[in-house]
Amino acid sequence: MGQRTPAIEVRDLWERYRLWQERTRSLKELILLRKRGSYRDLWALKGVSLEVEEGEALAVIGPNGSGKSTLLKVLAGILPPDRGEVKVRGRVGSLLELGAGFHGDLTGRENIYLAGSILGLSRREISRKFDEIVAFSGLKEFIDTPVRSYSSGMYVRLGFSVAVSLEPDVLLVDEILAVGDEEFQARCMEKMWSFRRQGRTMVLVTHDLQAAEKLADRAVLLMQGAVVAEGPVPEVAAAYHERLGLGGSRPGAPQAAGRFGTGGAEIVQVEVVGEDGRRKEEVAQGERFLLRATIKFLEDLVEPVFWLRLRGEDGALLYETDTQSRAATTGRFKGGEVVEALFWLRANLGPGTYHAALGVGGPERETFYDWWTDACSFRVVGGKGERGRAALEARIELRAEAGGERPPGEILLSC
Amino acid sequence: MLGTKAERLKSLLDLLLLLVAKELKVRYKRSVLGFLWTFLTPLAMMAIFTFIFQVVFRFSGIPSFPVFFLTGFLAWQYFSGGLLTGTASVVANAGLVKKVAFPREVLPLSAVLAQGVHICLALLVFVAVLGVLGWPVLARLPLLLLGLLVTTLLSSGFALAASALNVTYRDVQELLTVVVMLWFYATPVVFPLSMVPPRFALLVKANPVSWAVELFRLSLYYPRFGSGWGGPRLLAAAVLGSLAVFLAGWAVFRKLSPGFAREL
Repeated sequence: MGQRTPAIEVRDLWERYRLWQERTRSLKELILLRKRGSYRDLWALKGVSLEVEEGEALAVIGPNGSGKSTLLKVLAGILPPDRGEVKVRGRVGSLLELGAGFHGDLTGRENIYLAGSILGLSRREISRKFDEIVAFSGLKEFIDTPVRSYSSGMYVRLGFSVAVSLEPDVLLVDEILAVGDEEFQARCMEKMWSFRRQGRTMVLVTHDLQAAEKLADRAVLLMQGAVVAEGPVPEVAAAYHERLGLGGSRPGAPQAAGRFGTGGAEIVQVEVVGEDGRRKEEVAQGERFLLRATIKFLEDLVEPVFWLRLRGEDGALLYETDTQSRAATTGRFKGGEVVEALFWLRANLGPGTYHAALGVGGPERETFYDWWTDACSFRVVGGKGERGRAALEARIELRAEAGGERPPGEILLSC
Repeated sequence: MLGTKAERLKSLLDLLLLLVAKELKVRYKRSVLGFLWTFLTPLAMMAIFTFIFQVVFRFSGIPSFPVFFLTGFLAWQYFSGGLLTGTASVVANAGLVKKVAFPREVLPLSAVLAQGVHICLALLVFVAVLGVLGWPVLARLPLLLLGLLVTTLLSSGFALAASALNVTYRDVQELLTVVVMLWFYATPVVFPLSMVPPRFALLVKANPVSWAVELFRLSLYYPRFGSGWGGPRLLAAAVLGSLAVFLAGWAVFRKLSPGFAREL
């Protein structure tokens, strides 16, 4: 292995991600106000180094916003490296988006030529592979129909078929193995395998750890823009699970205190409040109640994300939600501003004690301005003597069946 | 497969041609009159300006005004149409730019060349009509080809720079519609260069689009090749000037294009 030159060499790669706070895009503002909008440069990748040998398949795993896709875009040559060095040897094919370059008004045939050419194939190469592409897509009868009338599945199938016809030396794949129906997925997987057998190099970014284990020789775990684990896929996957399992505790955060953050905001106070507006520590099962947090912003912040996480007494995660995953935008807050965050809940929980963690974090989901692991606790009481953590409001019935002494359908019991 | 320089250039050329073909197909796929539109605009403009000057103002200082106008207008239409569509092209293809690595230059260049195809078709008909009417169209035909080349370089040069700037400042596109309108009247399309008072003449001659317009006229309208501005000096200014504009525009584009994926 040592003597061979790697197909991909990445040395100390830093890549900026520009988070615009107020995007100035007009010349008027530029000239009259002489400002170009304020932005924060976050580092999407912080000193990533890795090597991929020729013929090797590397899986890049990690949570959303860990820099996986940015890494792939740098390897594909779409983004230039801000710092560090990136060398990719051979023809690069990237499956970052299927059907990129398609135009709805053009037919499947015309789009094969157009998209293939954008991906870097010459017209002659496309002509040579045309029948193969059409056969693989299974869209022979629709090939002279404008793609605007294709279903989304057909569209993606044609896109995939064009992309894999590129026969790249280095294939970059971003989370696209889950396209089309099962039959097509199996064919995609098979195609990936044939790529591997032909000794082509592959880098795939995925959430799907099973697919990663199937296809990749090795994995790296990216978190907050840095490689935190590297090695055989099962080991790295285990390391990933472990880190996710730790939940709120981020690497380097003081775990014991259960409170950490950059200090951009502060959770001042958290209370459990009943529907009547009174503070309480005990909630009846099935009752509506709310967690009321007073939050003070210490810096100007844009699109902060508000988090709630509930755990049982044994620390098991029961429930988690945040404003961003509800597709809500929170807007801008000025330093010094104070808000109340109200988390309305229904106590569909078994009797016991529960702990709520609250957090205010950045929109990139990587930093927390303030995270409070044990922000408040409450007890759930009542119920019908059920056990377990969930309150699923069971009703138990007994009904008579035909063939006995009782009339069929008679309800013998309901509790 | 790795691709020698020649192979890569070939596939780049293929891409450019496919994109031009796409522009043309998409534009006329669902239009009834199709390519006829290419002739309708210049003919309508010619009719209007001929009416204004010859009927309203009763101005007869320009012989064969319709021919005078059309030769200039077709050059102008190529330049401005290419510039406007080229400028919008990078932003219009944001999705592609963010997801696929390909030479971004092909976007504005294909937009300009598609406009060039329209103009060539219009010129073909125009020259044929002139020939039938007895104009000596073949004598100076190479000048027309040179004119097309110069216009292509000019339109591409400005479109490259403007399309790159448009990524960061979307106002460029809006601003340009106004600029192009004013630019039309600053270019000797409706008036001949010879009627411009001497103190403004240099200003008009410094306008790169004047070179394109004058080359078109030199080929199809002016009776003689002539000396002075009408001859070698115009040729030199047009060729060197348009090349400089193209290279400058390309330099701006190359400087800004690595940042496109991040900015879009």
